[in-house]
Amino acid sequence: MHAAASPLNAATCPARMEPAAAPSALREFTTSLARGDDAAWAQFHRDYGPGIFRQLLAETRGDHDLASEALQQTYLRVARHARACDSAPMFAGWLRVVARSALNDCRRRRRTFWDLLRNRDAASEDTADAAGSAHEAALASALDSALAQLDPSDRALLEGKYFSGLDVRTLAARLALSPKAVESRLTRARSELRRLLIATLKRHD
Amino acid sequence: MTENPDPRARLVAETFNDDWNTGPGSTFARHAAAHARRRRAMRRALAAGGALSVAFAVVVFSARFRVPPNRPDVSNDLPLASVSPAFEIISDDELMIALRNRPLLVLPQETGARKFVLLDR
Repeated sequence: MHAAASPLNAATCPARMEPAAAPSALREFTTSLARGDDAAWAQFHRDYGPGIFRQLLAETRGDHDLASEALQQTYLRVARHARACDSAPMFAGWLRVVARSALNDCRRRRRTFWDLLRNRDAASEDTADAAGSAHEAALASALDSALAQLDPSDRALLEGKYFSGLDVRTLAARLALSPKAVESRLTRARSELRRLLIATLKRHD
Repeated sequence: MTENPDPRARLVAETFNDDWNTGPGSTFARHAAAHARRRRAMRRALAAGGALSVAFAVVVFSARFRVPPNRPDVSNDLPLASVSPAFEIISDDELMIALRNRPLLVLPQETGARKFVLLDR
């Protein structure tokens, strides 16, 4: 499908925010979002949410709480400002800007007066895009590094589920385990990956 | 409408939120949907209220600045005689008093009408 099937070279590929969509379908989808349709929002969360969350996590250098708070703000802003849109790249670009703006506001709320004074020479909006891309590349690199540090069986399990697109039943059949046991191993593997990912991001800082 | 999201993004999302499709994130999405619906309803209500206000203002202004219709110019200089009728309708009693037992001749006309002639001395 695309370069993400090979996790180790993904750091060199531009981060992909949006799933592809036909223009008319996208218009219908974005119109449903603006209407507040529950099904459209569930789909938005499923298909676009991970990309937004990854961007936020990259820009917060692995701060899960801040990224989650910014994700919530991003969703509310999308609900407030979404309009019918035909262009997938335009929609994706808009989502990135909305997410960054929501994150900046969340950060601003958390900062103290002195923090604001210290950061008055912070990067402008023009350089924020480049910084965001650098952060996403850093996150991709940290993800590769964390995956490489995982136990090989855990890594194979995660790669099977996420990069090869295998479902839990197929994985269970391959490993001669019950689906419940595979779910449990997946949870443990993700937990370990999370620990390694945060440690790697902190080390980069 | 869409294909699956980037698997790496999905891996990152589920690494930090085990239950991505049903967890807190999906609650954010539901709240956002409700927020969008509320805003839409409010926008519609405001638009309807605005339209009503405009219509009301138009009615009020048109009523205030309406030009009165041209009325016929009735002059008071006209002589009363010119407007008084050529006949008078009287009651039976008044007729009997006017006749005072004098004979009355009724002459049929060619037109079918009848002519009344008072035979007075």
